[in-house]
Amino acid sequence: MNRAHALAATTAFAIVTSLAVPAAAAPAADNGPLSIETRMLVEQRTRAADGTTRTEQVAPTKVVPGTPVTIVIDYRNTGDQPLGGVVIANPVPRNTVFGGVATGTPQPEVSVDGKTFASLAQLRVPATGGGTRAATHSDVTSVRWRLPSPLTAGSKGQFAFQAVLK
Amino acid sequence: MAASALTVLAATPIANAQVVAGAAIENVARVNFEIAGARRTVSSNIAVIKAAERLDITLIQTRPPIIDGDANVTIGATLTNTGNGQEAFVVTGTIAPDGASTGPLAIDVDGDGRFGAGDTPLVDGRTPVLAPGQVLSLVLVVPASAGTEPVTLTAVAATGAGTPGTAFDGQGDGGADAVVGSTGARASVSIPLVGTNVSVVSLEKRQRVAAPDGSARAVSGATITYTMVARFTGAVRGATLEDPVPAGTSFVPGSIRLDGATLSDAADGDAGQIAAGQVRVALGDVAQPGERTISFQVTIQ
Repeated sequence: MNRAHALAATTAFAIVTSLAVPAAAAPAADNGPLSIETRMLVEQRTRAADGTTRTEQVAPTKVVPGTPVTIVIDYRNTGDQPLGGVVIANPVPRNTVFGGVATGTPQPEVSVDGKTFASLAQLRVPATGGGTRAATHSDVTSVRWRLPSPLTAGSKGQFAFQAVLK
Repeated sequence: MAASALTVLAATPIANAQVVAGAAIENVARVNFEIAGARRTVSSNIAVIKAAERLDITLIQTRPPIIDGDANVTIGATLTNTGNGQEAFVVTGTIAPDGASTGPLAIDVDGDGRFGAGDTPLVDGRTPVLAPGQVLSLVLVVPASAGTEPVTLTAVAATGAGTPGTAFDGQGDGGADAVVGSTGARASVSIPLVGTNVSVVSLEKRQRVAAPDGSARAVSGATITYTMVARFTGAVRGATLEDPVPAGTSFVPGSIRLDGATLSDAADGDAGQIAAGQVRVALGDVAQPGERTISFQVTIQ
């Protein structure tokens, strides 16, 4: 099952914020006034007594090839001045394939060459056998979001996207 | 007469592009922003996940079983570690209907498709540890006494097998978890020994003795001409005939013939050679039913 492509077509997914225990992470150095932290989660499905399936994001275990991993980025203006031109970038981890964004996360600009960022629909890559083809999720090497307005003091935000383990 | 046998060849490896078990998957995010008229970049922490081991296997029969002139059956199979971790496997061969064990099960080290001195028998059916994507050629000999019942060859991952998704916490490479993949970490092939599945290679071997006095008595100095007719009912790859020079005789140089044509004794470009007391004739790939005739001569000491 190619879940990455299914997400590209339509749906995004939701994450449960702040309840999950994050993956092992070293604390960030205090470079203030903008703090940024990342963690990784995996989906866990539990079946309730009434037959419905509950899905939540939990600390990663048993992450075998093919497992979708949720990458969460939390950022906050810890200073007392608004910060403009905020751009948050996240290279797609090696050995994973980009699989779309979570519910509530806007579509990012993406890069397939590590240098140019644009919407996925605008990008093309070399095709085997010559010529070019439209880029797909599996070509994405990095994602980036630009905040449309300055981040005021004390404000925070979160982006989340899926990376499927190769 | 000493027994002679026919051999065939083995299979090809498969690439594996999965991340290896125990590998670290790392994520770091960066933010770039403007403050006091300058741009700054701040990096996040590095979040890390350890990739778990997925247990998967494929086992395929590489070619139809070969029945030799003594009615022993040689079965060839390739086992592939299609998981992403270093894993050993346990292989068993049983004969229906009562699950009796077969003869020797070995790694076909020399790749000749038969069980010989160069091959490594499995102890308790356990293979060496295989890397992700690694292929192991196996050969199994079923004695003639097994009759015509199907043979079942089964291979199971040593860490564990079962329903896909079954986990063996901490038992994967590097202390990662091991999880059974879609193959159940188990594979089985059932091999019927008769019918169109089998390329029957029969060997008819005859001898003719010519003594110096013109009689057919097997006395010292007599020449024995061995003629073997190999009959194939189906296609066989890389067929090779080997026949030992019997004890008490010596090979007559230059006497190897294939379908009437003389083959050289040396291990050169042609199909025949004599080495280490064995006459060896490579019949190559036989594409269709037919027969090949091999002969050579020895002198009784």
